[in-house]
This record gives sequence, structure tokens and C-alpha cells, in this order.
Amino acid sequence: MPLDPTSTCASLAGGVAVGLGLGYWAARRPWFDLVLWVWAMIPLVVLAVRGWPAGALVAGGLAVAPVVALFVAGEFRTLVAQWNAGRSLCAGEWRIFRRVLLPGAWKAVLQGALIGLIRVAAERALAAVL
Amino acid sequence: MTHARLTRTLPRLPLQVEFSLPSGITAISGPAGAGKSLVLNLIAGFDRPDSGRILVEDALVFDGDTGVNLPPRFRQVGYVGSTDALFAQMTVKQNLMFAAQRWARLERHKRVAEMAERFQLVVVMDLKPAGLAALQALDCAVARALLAEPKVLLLEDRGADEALLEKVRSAFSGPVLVVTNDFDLCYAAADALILIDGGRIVQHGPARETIENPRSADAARLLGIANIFPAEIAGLDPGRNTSLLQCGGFELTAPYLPGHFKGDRVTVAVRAEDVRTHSGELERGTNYIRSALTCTTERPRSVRLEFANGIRAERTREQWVAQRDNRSWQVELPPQALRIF
Repeated sequence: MPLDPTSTCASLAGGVAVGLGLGYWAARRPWFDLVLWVWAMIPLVVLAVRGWPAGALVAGGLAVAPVVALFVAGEFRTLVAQWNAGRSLCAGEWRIFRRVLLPGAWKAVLQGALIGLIRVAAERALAAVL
Repeated sequence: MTHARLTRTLPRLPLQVEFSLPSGITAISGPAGAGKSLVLNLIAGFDRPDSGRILVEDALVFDGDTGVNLPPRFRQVGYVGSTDALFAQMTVKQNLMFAAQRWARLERHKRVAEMAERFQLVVVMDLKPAGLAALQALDCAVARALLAEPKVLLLEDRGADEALLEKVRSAFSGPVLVVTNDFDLCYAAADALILIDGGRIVQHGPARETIENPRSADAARLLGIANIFPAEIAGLDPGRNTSLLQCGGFELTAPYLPGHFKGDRVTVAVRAEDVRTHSGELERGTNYIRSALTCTTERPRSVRLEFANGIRAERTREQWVAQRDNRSWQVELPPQALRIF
């Protein structure tokens, strides 16, 4: 099955958004990394393409999300001092996320998105071969 | 009134402390792993006590019994951590602006300008934190914390000096809790001192009084008193106001110890700076002990002498130069310098 740029971009965007949220949540819960790793191991795109082709778009997003989340959670954990500083400055969590964490973790977001994209492409190729 | 009663049990640290923070600077001091940073984290709200109560200027921010546990952003507790927590992608000015966000634009700029002036940050306002020297970064972190108008300021051990604490004192009238093991700084700039070890407060009181008059052997050890000996009371003479102490290999005459009996075990502490050294040929006086010099250690402005019976003395370089050729030695532990617990 060829890669459709529009659906791939939509999958990627959705996956990055979900991954960011998950990464933020997982950053303070290291045990959740295990769940993300297990989630990342499931070939969602392959399963979706073979069983429910219309669900490939959603499956692409769900395949990208844990990869982004793992990268982002790791990076957020290195920013815990800035995170706490923001909290003690009476800033809300959303403001800290937007002004402090996200600018400090943009490289991790890009890395996660790139690897997620490669993964979706590889799974689609695998699904086409199968 | 800011008051903290905290219990928190970690695998290697059962923390149980209770103290009040009056306005002014309170230093908290203790060895690594004593629980100093944990106390700050609990007050700031980054960690949750198992039980207890925290009042920040009479506002309840944590109460274990009723389940009150305000998140850090609602506690109005300024926190300057042990690592540099300036926002790396922002300039110094943007960092300060972040803290002053709640004010209207004009007011915000005015407050930031005032704080920058007070902490001498005007020339570095457009620099990013990576371009700042360590002390400038600390000044910036403190200025940023104060811009949020906290009710209490918590300062981790980041090498704060007297000048910084004076700036804090001039800019902030509320309670400041600063972690430091620099007793010179405590003596010069702190109003109160808390000595903590193993999660327990060993001594708490006015800084100068605490440093000068430790009330226990543990406090003496935490204050870095070099000579601490177990002793047994060998004699008590209330008529002459003296007592005789047997300390292992030597005897000491000390002031009378009311409330003690002959045979009681006590601990004697003497600061190395209070120990005098003499030539062995001199006539012996009270608490003169013959001893052999085993080693010397150079200090920036003094020399530490260690004697065979475990006594340590600290002499200025001039005193050391005058005595270094002694063929034999006597150390003198003046009775008024002995602290007995």
C-alpha cells in the first residue's frame, strides 16, 4: 500500500499531539514508560491495514504517539528543575508546558516525530509486502 | 507566622521536624543526607509529607489530618533550587518577566526594572542564562523568585554569599530559609540557625548563640568543633567551683558541673581555635597536657596541628612560625573554652 502524504501527515500530527500529552503525563510517572514500550511494540498499522484499511489513519497516529511520548517524557524529566521553578512562580501547568517545557524539548519532539514517521512508513511497507 | 511540622519517611531518612520561621534569614545546616533539601521540597509543595502541617504566613497550605495539600503554585513560596533552573531559552529579562506575569504591562516592566537594578542585572538583561556567571545566575534566580511576591523564600545551597543575603534582606521582609554549611555566613548574615541531622533537628536558635553555644555533642560535631572527647567526672568541688574530668589519657579541670555526680559520663568539646600550644619546657599550668605533634595541615590563613592524644589545635601562621621549632609540646585547653554536655 503506497504512502498517502495527506493521511500520513494527519497521522503524524495526531500522533505528535497525543504523544506530547502522554509524555507530559508520563514525565512524572516513570512506571508508565513500560506501558509506552509495550504499546510501541504492537504493529498497529500492519494490523489496521490488513484488518480495517479505513482505520490506518488512526492506527498511524496511535503508532507515532508512544514513540513521541517516550522521547518527550525523557526530555521533560531533565527539565524538572525548570518545571518546579515555574510552579513556584505561581505559573499554571499549561503556561509552564507552553513556555518552559515545550521550547526546552523541541528536539525530542522532532526526534520522536521522525522516528514515528519512519515506523509508520516501515509498517505500511511491511503490510504491502504481506 | 510560618510554621512547619513535617513527617516524611524515606528509605534511609526518617524525617521528623517542627520549627517556626520568623521574618528574617534562617539558615538550615547539616551533613549531606540530613534532610535539608527534603524540608525545602516539602514546604514548597514538590513532595508530600506523610503527616504534619505547614502554615505559610498563617495560611494553611498542608494539613495531613484534613487532607489539605495546596499545589506549589498556590502556596506563594519562592523556591531557588540547588541546580540552575533559569529558563534556558529565555533571556534574563524574559525570565524575570515570566515571574511578573500577573501584573499589568507597565507595572510589570517597572517591577522587573527595579528588581534588575537591585540585583545588578541591568547589564545582563539581554543575555541568555548560559552566558551568565554562576553568581549572576543565582542573583537572577533569586530576583525572579522575589518578583512572584512570595510569602516565604526558600534558598537551596547554591553558594549564596553575604552580599546576596543582604540584597535579599533589603528586597524581601518575609521569612527566608537558606540551606548552607558555611557557618561564617550564618554568623554574619543569618538571624536563626537550624542544625539538622538524620532527619531530626539537633539545635535551633539564634544563629550566633547556636554557633557559640552548642547544647549537645551532636550539635558540636555539626558545627565542626574538632575536639570532642568522651569523659568521666572524676571529681566535683562546688567550693572551688571546679570539676575534674578524666578523658582517656589525660585529665581536665573544668568549671563545676551542677546536677552531675562523680562517675557520670559526659562529653567535652573544645574548638581547635581555642586550644593553645606551648613549648614543652614551660612550667605546666591548668589543663596543660604534654603531647607529641603528629602532623600539621596547612589552611589558607592558619595551620592545623594534630597531637598524639587526638587533640587538634589551630594556630595562625605567625604563631606557627614562632613555635614550629619546639622540641616538645604542651597543649592547653583553657577551662572557659570547654563545653561539657
